[in-house]
Order: sequence, then structure tokens, then C-alpha cells
Amino acid sequence: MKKKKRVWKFFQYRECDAFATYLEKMAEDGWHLDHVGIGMTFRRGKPKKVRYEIEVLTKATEWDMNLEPNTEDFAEFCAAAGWEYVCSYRKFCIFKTEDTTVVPLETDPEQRFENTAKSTRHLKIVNLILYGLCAAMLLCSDHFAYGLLYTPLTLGALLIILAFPCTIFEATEEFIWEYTSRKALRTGGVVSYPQAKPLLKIIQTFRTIIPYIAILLLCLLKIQEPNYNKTGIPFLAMCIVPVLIDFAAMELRLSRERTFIFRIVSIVTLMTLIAIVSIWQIDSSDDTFEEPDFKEAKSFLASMNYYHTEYASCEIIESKYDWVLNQFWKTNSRKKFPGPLAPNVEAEVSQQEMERWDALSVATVEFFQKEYLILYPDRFIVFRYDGKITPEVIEKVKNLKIQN
Amino acid sequence: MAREQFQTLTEPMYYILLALTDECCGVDIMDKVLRLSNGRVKVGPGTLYAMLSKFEENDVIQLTSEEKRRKNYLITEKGRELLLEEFDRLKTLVEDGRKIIEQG
Repeated sequence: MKKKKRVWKFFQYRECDAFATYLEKMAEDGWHLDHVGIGMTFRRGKPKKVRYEIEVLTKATEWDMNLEPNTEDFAEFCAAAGWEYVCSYRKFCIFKTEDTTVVPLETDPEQRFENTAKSTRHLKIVNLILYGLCAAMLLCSDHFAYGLLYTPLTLGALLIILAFPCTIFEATEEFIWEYTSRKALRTGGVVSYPQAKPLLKIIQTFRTIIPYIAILLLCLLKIQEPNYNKTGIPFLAMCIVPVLIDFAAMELRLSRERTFIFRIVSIVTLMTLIAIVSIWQIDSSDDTFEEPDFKEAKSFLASMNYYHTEYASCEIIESKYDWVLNQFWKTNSRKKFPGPLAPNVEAEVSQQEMERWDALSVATVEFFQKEYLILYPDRFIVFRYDGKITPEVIEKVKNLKIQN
Repeated sequence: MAREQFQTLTEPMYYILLALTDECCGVDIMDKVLRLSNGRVKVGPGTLYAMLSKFEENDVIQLTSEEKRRKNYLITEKGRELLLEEFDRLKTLVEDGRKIIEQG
């Protein structure tokens, strides 16, 4: 018979009563909480009626996975009142007792509400800012167009953008809970900390796993690349090592200091790997010049072919979607020379060229080489050529095909 | 700041400050409050822990000594003033009530 079992169940600070009830029910079935790492670990014992209470300790931090000096102080107070310390993680402090007459951990409902609300509010604000910034960067960036050529990148970006409304939903829900609870406290009512509604739970889970899915998608993208061995393996390590270190710190329940050291190690590892990747890329730059990585790229939104000769180069992007082609137009019509003070160069739309190319729109820009941005209903072309544009050249460029 | 925050002391606050008019160890305050209030006021360890931090931050009480994990606290001058103000306020409430309730 199994002596230990791990349960994948997660609770928010606002669900501390539901959490305690769940632990009581497990104890009645003979499963007593041992510790919380990645998931909750229960050990088998006698089925018992145990009273659990959970305190949200504002002095603890989100990174705590074990007894810290503050928690230890607090546990001493609780021991004096008859509560046995079980374990602590993040700001949760879990206590139990078999004595039904023991005073509850919190006798001041206002204090309990403030502790819980403060801890939850901080998390929601951080999430709102982080996901908001990511979504804004992706939505407002003119430079994401080339990302649309890669299905994993597009899906990852879409997921991150979708996560932002989730954080807004969570923050609004939190605000309503705080408002109604404060009102209840003012009028002598009771604040409850029950299980979250299923919809909120689904949204929270979705939002939590999104960064991991995005990392996984990026790894998939790298595996697809032709020179995968050169850049793919360090890149995979770069993505996976910090996540693994995080999980390991959680599972080993390291102290605050050790977790900090662990994180430093992860950053150093990451930086070293980035350095290795950069050096490898510099070394291989000559080899890849003739055969660029993006010679062919294809996603469910668009596909691109790249043609290159000694005097000219041509990027052809084909898509059924106008907004995708417009995104490429936007990206290419504003150029930035290297250097922080270098000015932006805007492409100029030319009516004369438009007629010559028989296109929806044509713009030209001088950027190292003369560039022609040509927009057709189903394709967008960037043609770099310093020579004279003759009807033959136009015909040649127009006849270039995307090879799928 | 402290005066604004503790304008009216709650019952547990009042008893905690009463308990700390003599130097007392943090964990013993719960028992002392229970004794002082004849078993009427029970302060949970969570509530006490948070309140001691808040009092200490606002110089209402001070840490006098610390041995291993046992921390001893004592009320400060500022805390004593707050306690006396609250005592006077409660006395006024009782006096005003007496005029009506006992004479009527």
C-alpha cells in the first residue's frame, strides 16, 4: 500500500478556508499533509479528525518554500496557543491541532482580511503589469512581422496576448471581492475564503501555464531549424535550465538564501549560454551569408522565400491575409540605422513606381542599398537593388515564385 | 501616523497594551490577556503576531530583550499615552451611560 502520495492541487490565498477544509477531509481519509513542493505530498496515517488552519503571512515572500526566521517566530506564537506547525510555502503557513477548544489563529477578521487581500492584490498587480507589457510589446511592435512566418512564434505570441485579458478578469474579480468583503466587515458581516469559482480557476490555470507553453513553442521552433545543432541545443538549455532550477528549488524546499543562490546560478548559466551562442553565430556568419536561415519560412499565416544575387536581393512574402501583408509593410517602411542617435528613415510612397510595378502600393527607401517595397493583393516584396529598374527587371521580380 | 492608525483601540489592542505595561514575552501575552479579561478576550496567535509588529513599527511598544526566539516587549511612552487616552474615552462613555441608564 502506498505510504505517500502527491496531489496536484493548487490554492490561492483567497481560498485558505477551502484549503483547510480540503486538508481536514484528507486527514479524515487517513492522508495527512507532509509538505508542499511541486504539488502537495501526503503521508498515510490513521484516519483522524484534525483541525487545520491556514494563515497568509505577509512577512513571508512568494519565493519561500520552507521555514524562514519570520515564519519560525510566528510558529512559536502558534505553538504557544496549541497549534502544531505543518509546513509553509510562499505566504501560506499551515497549522493543525486535534484540540477543538484551541483559539483560532486569527481572532480579528479585519486583520485576516487585510493579510489575505494585500498578498493577493500584490500578485494580481504584478501579473497585470507583466502580461500587459508583454501584450503591448507584441501588439505595438512593428518588428514582429517576421515572427508571423513561424507558427510556434505566432501561437506563443497569441497565447501571451490572450493571457492579458485573463489578468484583467482576475484583477476585476479581486477588486469586487475586496469591495464586497470590506462592505461586509463594515456592516458586521463575515468574510469567507471559499473555493474559487470554476471559471476563475480555469482562467488562472491557463494564465499560469502560458509562459511554459510559450517556452515549449520556442523550443519547437528551434528544433525545426536547419542548423539546430549549432544554436538549438544552447537555446533549449537557455529556456529549460532556469525553469528546471526553479522547479528543483521548489521541490527541494530550499531556504530563501539557497533559492537566491540557485537563481543567481541560473542567471549566470543563462548568460554563459547566450555568450556561447553569440560566439558560435559570429563564427558561422560567413558560412550562412550565402544561404541565410530565413531562406524559406512558412507558417499558417504566411510564407517567405529569399532570393539573393551579387547585386540584388529579394524577399517575397505571400499571405491570404491583408493584415499580415500590412504588418510586413509597416515593419519595412520604417528603418533604423544602427546606433542610438541614428535617425529613422521612412519609406516614401511613389505613384510613378506604383504604375510601373502595377502594384497596390510601392514605396522606396535608401537604407544601405536602395529598397523597393511592393505590395500586391496576395504578396509583399522587398527588392534591394541599386541598378536601373527596367521593364525586364520588373518582369523578373514579378515572376519569382514561392517554392513551398 | 500611530495616533491616526490607533485612534480608537480595539478590544484586543487595549488588552495587549495593558499586558505590556509590565515587560512580557510575546508568546505569553495571549495568556495574560485571557487572565486580565477574565477569559472574555481571546487573542489568536496570528492576530497577536501582526499587532505586535504594527505596534513596534509605530513605536507604541519596544523590544526590550531577545533570547533565542523569546522576544520581550514593553509599552513605550507613546503607547502609554494612547492607552491612557483610550482609558479616558472609555471612562467618559461609562460615565455618560451611567447618567442615563442607572438614574433612569
